[in-house]
Amino acid sequence: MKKTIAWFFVILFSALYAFASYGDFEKTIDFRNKSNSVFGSDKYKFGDLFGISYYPLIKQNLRETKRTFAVENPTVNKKINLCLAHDSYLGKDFLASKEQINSADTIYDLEYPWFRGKANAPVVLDTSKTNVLVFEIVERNLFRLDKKAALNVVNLAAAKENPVPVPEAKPVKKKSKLKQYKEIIFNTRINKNLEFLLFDLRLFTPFKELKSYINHKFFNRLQPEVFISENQKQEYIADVKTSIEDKLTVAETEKTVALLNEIHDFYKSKGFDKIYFSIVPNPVAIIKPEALRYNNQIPMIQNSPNLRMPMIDIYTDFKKCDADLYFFSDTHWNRNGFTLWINKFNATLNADLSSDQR
Amino acid sequence: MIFNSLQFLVFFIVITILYFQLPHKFRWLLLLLGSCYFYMAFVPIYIVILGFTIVIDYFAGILLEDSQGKKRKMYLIMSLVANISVLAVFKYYNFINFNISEVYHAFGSDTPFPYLKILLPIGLSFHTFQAMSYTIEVYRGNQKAERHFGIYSLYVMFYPQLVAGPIERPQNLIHQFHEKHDFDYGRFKSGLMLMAFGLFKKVVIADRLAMMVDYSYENSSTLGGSTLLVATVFYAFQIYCDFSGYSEIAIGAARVMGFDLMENFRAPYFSASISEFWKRWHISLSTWFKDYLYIPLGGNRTSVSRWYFNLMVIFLVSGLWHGANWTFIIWGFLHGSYLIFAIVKDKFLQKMNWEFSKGHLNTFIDIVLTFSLVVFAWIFFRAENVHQAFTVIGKIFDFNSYNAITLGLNAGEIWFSVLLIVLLSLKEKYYSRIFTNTNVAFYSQLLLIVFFCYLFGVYSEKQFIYFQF
Repeated sequence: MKKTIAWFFVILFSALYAFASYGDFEKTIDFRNKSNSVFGSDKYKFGDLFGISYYPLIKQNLRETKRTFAVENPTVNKKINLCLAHDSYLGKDFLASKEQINSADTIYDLEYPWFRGKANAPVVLDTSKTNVLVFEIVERNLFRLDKKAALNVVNLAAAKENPVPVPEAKPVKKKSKLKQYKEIIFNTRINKNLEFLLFDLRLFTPFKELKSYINHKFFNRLQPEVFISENQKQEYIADVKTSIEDKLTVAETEKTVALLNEIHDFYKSKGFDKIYFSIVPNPVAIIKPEALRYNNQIPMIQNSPNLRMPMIDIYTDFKKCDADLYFFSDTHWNRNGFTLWINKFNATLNADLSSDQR
Repeated sequence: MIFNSLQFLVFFIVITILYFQLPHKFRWLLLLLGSCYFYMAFVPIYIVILGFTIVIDYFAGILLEDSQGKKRKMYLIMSLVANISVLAVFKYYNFINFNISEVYHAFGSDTPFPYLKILLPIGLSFHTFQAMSYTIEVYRGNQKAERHFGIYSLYVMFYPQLVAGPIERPQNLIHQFHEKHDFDYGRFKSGLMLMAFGLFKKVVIADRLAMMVDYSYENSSTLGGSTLLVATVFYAFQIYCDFSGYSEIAIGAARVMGFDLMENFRAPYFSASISEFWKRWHISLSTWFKDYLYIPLGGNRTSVSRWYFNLMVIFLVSGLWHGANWTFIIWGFLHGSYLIFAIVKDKFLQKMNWEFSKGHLNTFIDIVLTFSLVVFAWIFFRAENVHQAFTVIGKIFDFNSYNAITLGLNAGEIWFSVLLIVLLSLKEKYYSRIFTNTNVAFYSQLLLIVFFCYLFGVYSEKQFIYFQF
């Protein structure tokens, strides 16, 4: 009997280790997030910042938030071929709101094009429509936007009526078998994976909340990535890249401006009619810029006299708005923030298209 | 693979259960494969370096035993040179080259030698010294050459003490690999408890103090002397809890499987003199130096000047063993000087016929003085470079720079750390054994410690300080 129990544990823990080294985590995460049992996960249910900090006093169920603003959706006559390179701020919600976008009957959804390095589906330019390219990126990731990645965001296929040669895609270098095995056997993410498998369970949430509460109450700290506002209402992601610690100079701003101009000119030459860039402000830049000593990155870029890239400026609108635009326990905007963006996008596009028609 | 990780927890459970399930003849193989995996989890390729020293020393041991006269000495020298060469290339080459280049710069030219772009293999100094102790002991006839290549490899690679000791002697460890260990519930319990305490020291105390010490030393040029003084005292406890915590996990893990590793720490900050401190701090290394360097140099059975010279050599080499940096050499020099000064002082008192009573107050004063000297030397050990060390010292002794203590965290954190240090000291002084007579007492204490580790632990995947050596 003892032997059987011993072997049971050997097999159990070996299987756990093997799965942590080489498991299908996307499916497991999905399954855990959907489960309502004690074996489900609270990591994303109450916001990504809650999932990092587990601070119990700021716990907002993201599914319960309601939109208070109306989507302004003036109709336009011209059909739009919309290509959207975006991050999580315009993720699934955006596609669900497809009908709210200005008559765009085609949307190319290029998700995280500059992070994942994966090949996106080819974009077909349609000369019978207005080809619109929009870049959306959250402020804290702006520094990660590099020229090479930005100019390869859109995988241009032949235009429908005016074929242009399709650049040959570079063959992706395959990893050697030895390297693949090495990455599995000595998986550098194994601790994170084991933590997820063993402890990312609703069962443990009260303990995590207790630890977080004690740390905050007595030691005034949470996870290094998370800050809490003084009124205990809002969590922020720690972001030195947009704080004064990063010391943003005019020269650095102009470097970003030059990159945006280059992106604009490049895609213009490729056949896009309209190209826009939109920087989603970090919550801290809007709500409490003094908390992390905001370095004014967005206004510095948007007000640069050298900027040729048209911007969908939501920074100004967000600053004027009194409503809550962000989740309290998540880095993302709420339905209000999202709606303001759509309205701004529609308004900007309509204004441009109207002026073109005149 | 670090001890304070889930990866190690799962690894340890699997290896330990398997160890007791397998027939004795296969256990060495399990431990060897497990140890290889444990080491390769850091940087896989460095197993080649370890393999190189193992092969050299394995054959050196056999050749030493099978030969006579001058040949024996030659084989020993060859083995030692091979081991020291590995250390020299991976640990000291760039340091020596840097110092040579400084000389070249002074004469307006560049060093002709290229810098090596290599990472220091983890725990190199530990397993190299353990391998060297084997060939030396075979040479001295205290240990038979191990003919079983797997067992010898295991002696160097045994995973609990592979990367940060205790640096074992072959007489203590090799025979244990040949013996059959049955599962012993008493050993299992005491091993587990030791591991839990080691983990507590590491994640609750050492890593908490590390946050404040790192902040203070990174900002040493702007912070006041009071802050740097507290940070340096905190560092003394950080390094102690970090290293002794590691040693306890190592000793505990080995004990669960039936192996006895040597004690590495014995409440060192309660030492009443520097010589006592070195009998209580990193015992496996200090005895290594004593056995293989200090005594062969003549120890204290020589002229007084030669004795002082021997002491200084030991501590300078010990400093260099810790790292290729002048800060470590100065740290070693300070400890050597302390010892020499203590001897001179004792001789002087003896000559003058002055005797001090051994009362509690005097012992307490001696403990405080010894601790202060040790803490002062830690400044060099912690500092990134000599300049930073002198900045810290300058500020600590500049009382005008004293102001409110700001260690980067709030007062609650500082006071909690002080409380932990006091509790740790009391435990080490008065409560060295935990009562584990009944299962209820044992498991409730174990659970409490684990829960405390979770609740108050700082988890940052911070490696143990001594891994870099």
